Amino acid sequence: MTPAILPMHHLEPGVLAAYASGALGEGPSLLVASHLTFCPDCRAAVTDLDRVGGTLLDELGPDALNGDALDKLLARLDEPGTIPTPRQEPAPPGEGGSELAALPAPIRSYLSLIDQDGTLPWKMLAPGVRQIRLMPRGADGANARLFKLAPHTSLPDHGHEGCEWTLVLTGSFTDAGQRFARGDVAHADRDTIHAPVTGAEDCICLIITDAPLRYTGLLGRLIQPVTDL
Amino acid sequence: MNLEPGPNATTIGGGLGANHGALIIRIAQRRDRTAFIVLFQPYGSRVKSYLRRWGAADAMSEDLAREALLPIWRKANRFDPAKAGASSWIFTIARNLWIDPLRKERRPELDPTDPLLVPDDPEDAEDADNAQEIEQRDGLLRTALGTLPAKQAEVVRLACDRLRGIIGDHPS
Ligand SMILES: [Zn+2]
Repeated sequence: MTPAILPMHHLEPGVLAAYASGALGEGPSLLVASHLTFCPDCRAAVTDLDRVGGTLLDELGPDALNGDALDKLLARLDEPGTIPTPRQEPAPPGEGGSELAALPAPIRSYLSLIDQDGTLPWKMLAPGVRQIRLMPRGADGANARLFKLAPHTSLPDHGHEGCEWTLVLTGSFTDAGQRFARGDVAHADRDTIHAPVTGAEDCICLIITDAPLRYTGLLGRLIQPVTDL
Repeated sequence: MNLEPGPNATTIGGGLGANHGALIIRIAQRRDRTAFIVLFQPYGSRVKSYLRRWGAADAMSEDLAREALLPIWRKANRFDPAKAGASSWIFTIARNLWIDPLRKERRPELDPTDPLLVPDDPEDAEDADNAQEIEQRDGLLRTALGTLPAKQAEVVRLACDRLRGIIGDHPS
């Protein structure tokens, strides 16, 4: 078995710390959990951060529970096994080689409306660009979507009102001279103007934005009204 | 085995008892209520303190802290001392607990059984598969934080304020 190819582009320590502390919002947390699936290094970092969390818990000044808390708890110890917290089960991975089988479990758990054959419900945005919205736009404006870009597709130059995070799931793209493949994370902030171009295969990405994108190119201005980006 | 916490076990900065992992294992293996009672005081009060820092009102943090202690009893068999110390394990329970009621959001998690999971380097795994070493690393972290109050404040700040729901303003 050939060794797995490890990601080259990772998450910043601050983002991993926010994830470990529980501070990170749902959309970005989905991106982190998906990257961790592909990245033993960031996984180890999160394990260490959990340890820091435990240490911080130790160091917190205790805030005593009410006098009856222990009795209340002891009375519940013999309750029959609890119902596990309801969680969306990941969609089954589907047939090997299907698009769904290439997506990590955290993303599959958001894709509950899947056709039986593992076909994903892509919606066309523009020639060569399809998307699936994974969750409603968050209160903070965050947005989580899958994009599928056809081979050799160039996205228009675009700037950002806020931040954009891209995790490559299949295929690859090149942006500003850097190549991003499966497991790699690309980050763009409001000062970045970028124009990624996909490689020779379809490229599926998870894209998290925390504010609407503002396309600056001509095509961008043309598609902006219809894409709900 | 002495189930009572030592005199320094709940001293702030002294680190909670290194034997707490053993107590969780006793709960898993023998449904040992005494072990649970020993864990109740130090962790209940700190989980409550943690939840209040996230803005939970007193009554809610009281209720949630109790909820956070129940998994110590119910899920003790999932505690793996080779992977986490007692404090880290309880921290992850408390962390996941406040997100649902307070933020009404999910926190997507890695699925360790995912067929797509890229496994750890086996050599690294051998290093990590040692509970004693984990305890030592916990101790080192604790010492590091204890001797560096500014650094500790930085980590707390990181965890509790600046990064609350924000991904844009990241240090790098
Ligand atoms: Zn990584």
